[in-house]
Formats: sequence, structure tokens, C-alpha cells
Amino acid sequence: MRTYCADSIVLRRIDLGEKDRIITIYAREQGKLSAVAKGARRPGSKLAGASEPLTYARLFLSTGRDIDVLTQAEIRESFTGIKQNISTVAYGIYLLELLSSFVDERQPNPELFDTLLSSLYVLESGADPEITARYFELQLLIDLGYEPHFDRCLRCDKPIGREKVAFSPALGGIVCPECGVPPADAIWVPGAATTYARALRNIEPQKIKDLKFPPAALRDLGLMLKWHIRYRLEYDLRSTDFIDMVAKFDDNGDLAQMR
Amino acid sequence: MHYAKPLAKLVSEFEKLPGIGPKSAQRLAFHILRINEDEARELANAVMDVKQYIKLCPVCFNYTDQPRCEICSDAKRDRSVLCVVSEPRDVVAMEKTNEFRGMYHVLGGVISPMDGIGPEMLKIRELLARMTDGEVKEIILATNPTIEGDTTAMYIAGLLKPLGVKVSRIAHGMPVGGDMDYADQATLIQALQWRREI
Ligand SMILES: [Zn+2]
Ligand SMILES: [Zn+2]
Repeated sequence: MRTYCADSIVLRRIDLGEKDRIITIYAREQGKLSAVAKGARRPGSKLAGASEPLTYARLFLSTGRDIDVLTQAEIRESFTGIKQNISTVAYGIYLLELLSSFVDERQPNPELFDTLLSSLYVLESGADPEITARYFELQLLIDLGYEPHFDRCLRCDKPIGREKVAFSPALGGIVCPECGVPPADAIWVPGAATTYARALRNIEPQKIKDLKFPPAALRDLGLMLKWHIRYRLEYDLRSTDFIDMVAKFDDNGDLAQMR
Repeated sequence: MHYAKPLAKLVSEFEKLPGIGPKSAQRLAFHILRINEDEARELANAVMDVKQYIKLCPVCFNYTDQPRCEICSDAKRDRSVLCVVSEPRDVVAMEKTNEFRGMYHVLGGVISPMDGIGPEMLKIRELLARMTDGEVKEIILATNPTIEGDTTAMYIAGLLKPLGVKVSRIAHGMPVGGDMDYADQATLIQALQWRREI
């Protein structure tokens, strides 16, 4: 048995037996891994808070035969700002789920860890959660080598203007209208939407909260990235359904009438 | 392992129960084989009876075998205070403290982005409907201090605030990430007494 320390973000937890939990964490130096937090559901347990998703903590673990064991934890940040609001929680959980779906167990990637952590701090600072999510998606795709190309037409290399263009996840970018029929998986978006993608590619995270995108551009950018991510993962994430559900529930007015 | 067919069926039924692995399922099944027929029938009847007679109370959504649950029909309870919990077992935990004399509202779960459980899957609409007659003056949100429990409490508080009721959240004494069901009575009493307005 060996003990080690892992600066981690808790991605997920599931209950185990009567009082324990299994947590999935993303550790800066160790990558994604699972560990058992014994007694974490018992009131007074020092591991309870540190085994909550959306927590940044220094965890102390010991290697076990089947699964590593969480022995001690120092919470660095519990992101109470994110947890104030159902919509920011939904986006926070989405970032965790997105990362978790893209990375394999025990593949360290300190840069991606830092991107996740800073994106969570951006969310905590009160930035637009939708813009923050688009930023994280783009940075994650870039980091893993799946960057969609928004600058030029993939067929003729012409820069993208304001006219409608086709975005194809299979090609990994844009085809302009002069280049004939786009691949079957393409969706048509205004060329202007790609400028917002370029803006998010090179921005310092702390400047995200000053950004304001036109709602239509944000929607189109979101659509392209969602399409691209779905093509890569081959499935939809639960937390995106949740985000849609919350938005619909807030809009449909049923509750507003009761208020 | 090879069982006679009816025995294999019983083992596999037990295995479907939460927290029961193959070993425990086998132990339970062999236990059933050893008990006499009357005992076995009583067990089978008890299972069928809860399925047949236990329903959700139409007011608070706790389990009951009456048209309205015992707490909702008790005239001596304080109808101005409503304690919102996620599961029926949380009502049991609160009642054990003998400290709370108000009414309950059982949500039937918590909001969970991880599990795709949204507000409309819970009895939140029904909670707001209970506010219309103006009898309720204070709401105590007693969901677990977990990310799901906090999100649920925050969401409900946001809906209730404009109605002018006092909204508080049990907070202190309950550690973050803990499970209300496992809190001892002293902890729960503390949590109730130290609730803070949100
Ligand atoms: Zn072209
Ligand atoms: Zn009732």
C-alpha cells in the first residue's frame, strides 16, 4: 500500500452500501480515477464535503487492491457561487461531465486540468454560463486535438465572411457556399458566428466575464460545438438535457402564474 | 451455482433488492426455505399489502394507507410551518426528534443535473399550490446538504420568496455532503434550531 496526494476536482460520486461513496476525480498529476470514500455519508465525516462534485481539493489517497482509498482531504474551493443557482450548477456539472466523457482513466493532463479549474472559477465569478461553457468546450477540443476549424473554408482555403456557411463535424470545420454541396452531416450557420469562436479561442479566462455575445450568435456557436462534440462522443450528455429542461421549465410560465 | 428452479427464482428476486449481493440473496433464500409456511405467507402478504394499500398522501406526498396521512389529518399540528424534505424516510427521521410540530411536504427526490432529474419531476408545483390559501407562514427547507439538496433548496427558495413567506434552510450541525437519513437525533434537532433564513 502506497499513499499519495492528488490536487483534484471531484467529477462524480455514487453511494456505496450504507455509508460510503465512490468518487470519480480528475487529478492534476494522475488524471481521472476512482476512489472509495469510506463513511463519507455519515454526519460529521471529514470526507463528506470533499466528496461532493464541483469541489477542488487536495486529496490524500492510498492505493488499494481493487480501488484506491480516500484517507484525508483539504478543501481548496467548494464553488459556493456556482451552487447558488440552478442554472450555473447545471453548467458546472456539464463541464465536469464533458471532461469526464473525453478523458481516459489515469491519463494525466495538467493543462486540461488547469483549463477546467479556471473555467470553474470563471463560472464562480458570475460570467455568462453559456459563454463559459463554449469557452471550455473549445479549449478542451483544442487540447485533445479535435479543434474545429473556423477560420477558412476547408476546401478552397478562403477566409470566412458574413454569408451562410456549412459546418461539418465529419470534416472538422467550415465549407463555404462556393465550394459546392457540403457533407451530409453539415449544418448551415451565418459566417459571423465563427468570429465568436475565434474570440473564445485566444481569450484570457479572466476576461470572459466582460464578454457579451448576441444571443443568436451564441446559439449558433453552441449548435456547432454541440454537433462537433456529439460527432466525437457519439452520444448526448445527460447534463445538456438538464440544461435544456431547466431553461424550458423557467420559460413555460406555469410556475410564473402561481407566483 | 446450480439451484432448483423455484429456488433460483427466489435468489434472483432477492438480488434485485438494493444492497443485496449474490451471497446475501442466497442466505435470505435459504432462510425462507427453513421457516414454516405461515411465516412465509405472512412475509408474502406483507409485501403485497404495502403494494396494495400504501399510497401517497394527496396533500404532503408522504406514504400513507389512509385517504390523507396521519400528520396531515392531525388537528393539533401547526399548519403555519411547512418542512420540505426530499424523501418519505426524511419525515421519519424528523418525527423521531419530537421537536417539529408543523406539517411536511415530500418532494419525491432532489434536483440532480447528474441524473437528469429536473424540477418538474418533483412535487414543486404541488408545493406552490399549497401556498395559495395563505395559511403557511414559514417554510423550512430540509433537503440534504449535498449539491443536489442545496440546488433544490435554492431553487424552491427562489420560487417562494416573491410570495412573502419566511424561508429558512436547516444548515448548521449538518455537515456538507451528509445524508439526513443517517444524522442522529441530536444533530437533527440542532439543525432545526439553527436554521437560517435564506
Ligand atoms: Zn470554399
Ligand atoms: Zn400528508
